[in-house]
Amino acid sequence: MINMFHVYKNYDGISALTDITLKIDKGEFVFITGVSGAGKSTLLKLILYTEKPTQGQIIIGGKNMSRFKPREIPYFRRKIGFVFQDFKLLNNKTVFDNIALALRITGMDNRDINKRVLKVLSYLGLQHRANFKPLTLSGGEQQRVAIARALAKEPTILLADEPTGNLDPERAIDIINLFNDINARGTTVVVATHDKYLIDRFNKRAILLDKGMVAN
Amino acid sequence: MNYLRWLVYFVSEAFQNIKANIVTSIVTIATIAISLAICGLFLGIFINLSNMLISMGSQIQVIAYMRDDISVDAISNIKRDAAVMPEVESLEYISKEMAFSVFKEELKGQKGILEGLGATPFPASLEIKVKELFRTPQGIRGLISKLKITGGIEDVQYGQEWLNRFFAFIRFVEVFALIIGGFLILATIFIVSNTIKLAVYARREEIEILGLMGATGIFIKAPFLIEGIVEGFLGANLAIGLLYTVREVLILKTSMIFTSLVDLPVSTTYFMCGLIAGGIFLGILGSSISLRKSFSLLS
Repeated sequence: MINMFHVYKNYDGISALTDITLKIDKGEFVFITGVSGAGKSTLLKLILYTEKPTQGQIIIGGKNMSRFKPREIPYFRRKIGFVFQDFKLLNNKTVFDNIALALRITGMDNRDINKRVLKVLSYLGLQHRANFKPLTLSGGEQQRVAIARALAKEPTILLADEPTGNLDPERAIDIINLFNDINARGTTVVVATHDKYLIDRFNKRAILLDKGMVAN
Repeated sequence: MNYLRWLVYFVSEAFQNIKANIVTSIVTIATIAISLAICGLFLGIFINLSNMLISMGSQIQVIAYMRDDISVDAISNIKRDAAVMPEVESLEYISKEMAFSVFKEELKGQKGILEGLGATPFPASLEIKVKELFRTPQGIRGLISKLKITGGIEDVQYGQEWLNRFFAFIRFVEVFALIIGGFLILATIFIVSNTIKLAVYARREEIEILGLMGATGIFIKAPFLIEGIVEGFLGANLAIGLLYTVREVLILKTSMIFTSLVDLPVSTTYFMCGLIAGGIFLGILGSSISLRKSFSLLS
């Protein structure tokens, strides 16, 4: 599903990733781990194509990303769900509208949008929060809204960058359990975290980054 | 169907954005209004000045004096030839007798001066009004050389010195208007784009999130552009109101002479449509420039 071959990423001459070669299979659940500044977020940004590699090849779903035309990028991103530590929700919109927006950009019919949003809200136990604004919710609930938004578009890959960073340990385990469930339904899940406890608790493959290089 | 759905969504987003960022929106609308009002005021003054110059230009007249010994046939030939010249708007033949009687009329009360003058001492002449297109030094010189070719014309007068100064003044007004007008338009675009940039900057996170979710560029930009159109439209209407007030104050508070010289063409439909189109153009341009900057910043 995700293949990287000798990928390098530099920012103004400073190396963030060095000679990354890795393979993540379709339907796999993988942790990307390492200390802060190891390059975890950069790796996810390369997969989401918000950053381009300085050198090397990235192939996702059989497509070489270096051959992407600019107009193809939005359509590519619609197949990828993302969840960030800071949730990245639109605080002036309701929970329902935040999730609906991910579908609205695809041109989906309003009726289908309603159905799909209600389905993910109920899957995540958020039906009663549909008309709330994000800032009135707890951190755990906000993260579940972000996950609901990512899931609504039925992505083939789900990326999460420190999704539990702002949550207490119990809520963190809930979130990873949720990812596990999503993964069991066939979605490839890539979670970047520095939380060793979570990695030890969930017996999944972990790719350890150290100073921008794969260490294991 | 998709397009209609999106259009409804973009318009509702644009109005929600205006409502949510009401202070920035009011600043943008006010900026557009003031900028357009200044441009409109300048344009009004320029139009008035041009009209004044055009009416002065219509007084340009060429007088062709005929030789004394010219025959009646030759006079009608010259009149016929001159009438079909492209430069000639209208012409009037003043015979020797007519010239003398006009002179006598002008000297009424001082008849003694005329005593001893037997026959009329004045030559017959053609008073020619020149078409607007040819009211230039070159155009008039062309007409004179054609008149001279006809034969029978002794002298041509057209106030050469006045004409040259008049056209130098027109050239100055045109260059001045071009420079000031260009500067005003650039300054307006700059101010408006920076004001809208503030609105875009305030929502940079929203732009980023939409981009990450896979929204196309047009989906992200359209609500901002519609917002620009709405703000431009409202700003232009406010500018029309401002100009109308200025005009009313001028009419009420100043003498009729001043009013007739400086009348802003606020009431004319084309001027209002022009201002509204200008406002919308400014709104779109301001949004586009600031969006392009923000996008390059985000990427």
